[in-house]
Amino acid sequence: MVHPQSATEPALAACAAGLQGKFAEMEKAIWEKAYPKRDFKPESLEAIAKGVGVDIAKYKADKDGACKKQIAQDQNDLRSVGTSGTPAFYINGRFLSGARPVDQFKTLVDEELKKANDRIAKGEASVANYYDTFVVKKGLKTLAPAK
Amino acid sequence: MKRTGLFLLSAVAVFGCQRDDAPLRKEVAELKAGQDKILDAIKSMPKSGPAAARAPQRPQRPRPDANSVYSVNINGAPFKGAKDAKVTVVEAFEFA
Repeated sequence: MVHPQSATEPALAACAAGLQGKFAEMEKAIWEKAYPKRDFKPESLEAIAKGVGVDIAKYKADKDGACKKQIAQDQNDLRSVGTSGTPAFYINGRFLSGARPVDQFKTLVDEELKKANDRIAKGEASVANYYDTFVVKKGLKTLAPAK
Repeated sequence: MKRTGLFLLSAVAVFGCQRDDAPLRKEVAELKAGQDKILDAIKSMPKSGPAAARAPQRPQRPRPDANSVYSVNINGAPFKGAKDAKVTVVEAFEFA
């Protein structure tokens, strides 16, 4: 989910660095160097990308190509399952909106871990395909209509 | 003499009461009628207050159900931790 005016550039930058395996480094650098001044100018982000060791030619190409598509796709996908603001979380597909106390995460993680362990023990999925089987394939693709 | 005086006094008193009572009763009756009119007017007023203020509200954006599992594809997304995990937390965030 990206705020159209201010957050698109840094999102593209993080995505492009991510395609070179530098997402975490770039994300951290954006928060530390660009965010405090809200300086998301393309050239400033490019300098940050250089700093984390990204190949700039590929970074530029990906920013305008693959990443534009990727971010639009992510936004659509998330919106269709109920994300209307950030931060938003899905814990094995269970929605949690906003910055919440850690206990709420813990509760959901524990519930989902128990479900996963039970299903894997019964042979309904393996650890490797659990998320794909029970979240991606069986999960709701859109918000269910009001009951 | 004393008796007559007393009688006169009480006669005046009774008479006086009767004389003062009539307009008072009338006034009370008028007030009551007035109150009834006010109550009727209140009852026929269009509803206001919190309930009325809520009425023209926009339909609420549908919210995800807390117990449902939604399909969130994470192919190609950057991640921390094991590639195969029993529990995956997806974070939607923006630099804002």
